[in-house]
Amino acid sequence: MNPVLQIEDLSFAYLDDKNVLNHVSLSIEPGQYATLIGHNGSGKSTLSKLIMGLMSGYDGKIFLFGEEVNRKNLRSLTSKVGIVFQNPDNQFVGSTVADDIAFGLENSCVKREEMEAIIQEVACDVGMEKFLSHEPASLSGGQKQRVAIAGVLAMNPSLVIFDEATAMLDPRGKKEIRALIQKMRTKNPDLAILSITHDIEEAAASDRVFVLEKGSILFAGSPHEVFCHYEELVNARLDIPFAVKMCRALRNQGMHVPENITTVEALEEFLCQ
Amino acid sequence: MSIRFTDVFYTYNPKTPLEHQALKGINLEIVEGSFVAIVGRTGCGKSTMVQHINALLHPTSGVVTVDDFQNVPEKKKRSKNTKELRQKVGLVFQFPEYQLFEETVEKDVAFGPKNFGKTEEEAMEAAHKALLEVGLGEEFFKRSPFELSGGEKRRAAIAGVLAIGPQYLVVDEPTAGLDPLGSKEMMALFQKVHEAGATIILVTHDMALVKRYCDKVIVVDDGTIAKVTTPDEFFLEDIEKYSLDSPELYKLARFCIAHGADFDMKSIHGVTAFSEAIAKWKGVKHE
Repeated sequence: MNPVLQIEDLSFAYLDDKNVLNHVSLSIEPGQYATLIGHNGSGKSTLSKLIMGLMSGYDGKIFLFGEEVNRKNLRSLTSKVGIVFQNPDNQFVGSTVADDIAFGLENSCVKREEMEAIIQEVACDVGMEKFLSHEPASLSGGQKQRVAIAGVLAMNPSLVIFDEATAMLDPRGKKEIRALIQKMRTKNPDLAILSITHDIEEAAASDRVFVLEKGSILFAGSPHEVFCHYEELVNARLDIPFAVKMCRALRNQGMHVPENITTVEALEEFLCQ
Repeated sequence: MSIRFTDVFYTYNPKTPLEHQALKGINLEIVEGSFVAIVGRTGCGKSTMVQHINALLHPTSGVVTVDDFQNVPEKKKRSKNTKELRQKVGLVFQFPEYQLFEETVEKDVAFGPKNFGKTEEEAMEAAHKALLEVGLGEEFFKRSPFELSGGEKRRAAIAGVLAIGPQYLVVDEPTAGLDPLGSKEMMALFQKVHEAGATIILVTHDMALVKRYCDKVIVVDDGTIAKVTTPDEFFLEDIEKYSLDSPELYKLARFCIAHGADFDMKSIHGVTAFSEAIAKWKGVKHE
């Protein structure tokens, strides 16, 4: 299968300014859970906007599902890419939850009977089926993000981008969304996820990590391959997952800890042996 | 001098179908000079509580005292010096960057001091000082606040509160949405304000901040005070019951204890001390 997303030598600058993205290359395979980390202003959100075709005028190539994105195929290719934004309050258009989920379907002229079935299904997927007639404003942050995800799922995407989608949620809301992402991946094993996040523990538990620093990819690989660059990451003032720090300290104590531990769960398993 | 809540009840939309009792008898003292955390699940009443401190809300019953100011139920005779109180207590809401409105950063920050009776020049001077304090240098003074990045906007908004020179600073989730570096810088700023003598009241879900910066934790649960304790004591127990997330270190430590480790949690403060304890538990000798 073709990569879901492939970016080759992508550079981009806002009007006359210096490059926000510098020769970025990366790819995401079907079914992969990729995370993109980096400081505010490192170019993360610019990258997601370019992938979504929300801005043009870049150098380099973007391929979606094996096809290079151009003006003609942009609409059809990006229709299989969904995005969930940071602020749950800025992405509602409908007056009820059901209306809101229907928005994308209406735009792509889905028949009314089909639409109702789809809305019911995706609302069940995100656990919001009892709220279909509620006003979005009356929901909690986590519930709002679940409705936003339902709207994305209604379009049957092959790639979903989460642009700091849990940053404004409380711990319970964050947990809900993390569990939901896992559920989505179980239901559709080919669904690829790109999560732009500040949550270093989320990155530590993902399949593939991209570190963006000043518009360039600093490191890319499995969590282990990325977080073994301990000093460089600290120098770039990026966070290190707790388990990675802990393993390092344990090695200093003379313990033989496997190299590939990046999550607390894996560390717990090791300590139980 | 301190902030004192005595039997404070608060009901939203009383005598309507939307009636909701948010505070159910709060008794609490926050002494001057402390750095306290107010924690609890969303909807527990934290924000309602702190809005009583600068009289944005008046208790349905009970009294909130801030130094010599009394915030009492509306129908009773109220202190006339609310303005003075609001100069004393600075309140920074969640996502304060949405409240910027002036055409330049310096005008936005000077709005508060001007409102509290400072002359144009004095207000501008206070604004510049506050902007430098939050790390926005001269190059930012004349820019439009709407051109700034998210983190810069938030710092500008906080400068607007600092420019008033509050003795008590209440900050509601000041680091939400910032990257780890931005969070550290933001907290370092409050630390500096605290060291300069202000009392800081931090409303947050981030337990790592509580551990690192606060000397006291106030847990609010369903409109009541569930607990007042120190961070060290607090993290020894399983705080998931308050819908809070323990720092990773404590989660792992509790896991080890459940699997037979005999740790003295009070001595486990950082990663190094904890790794020594684990090595000892696992019988590894340090070469």
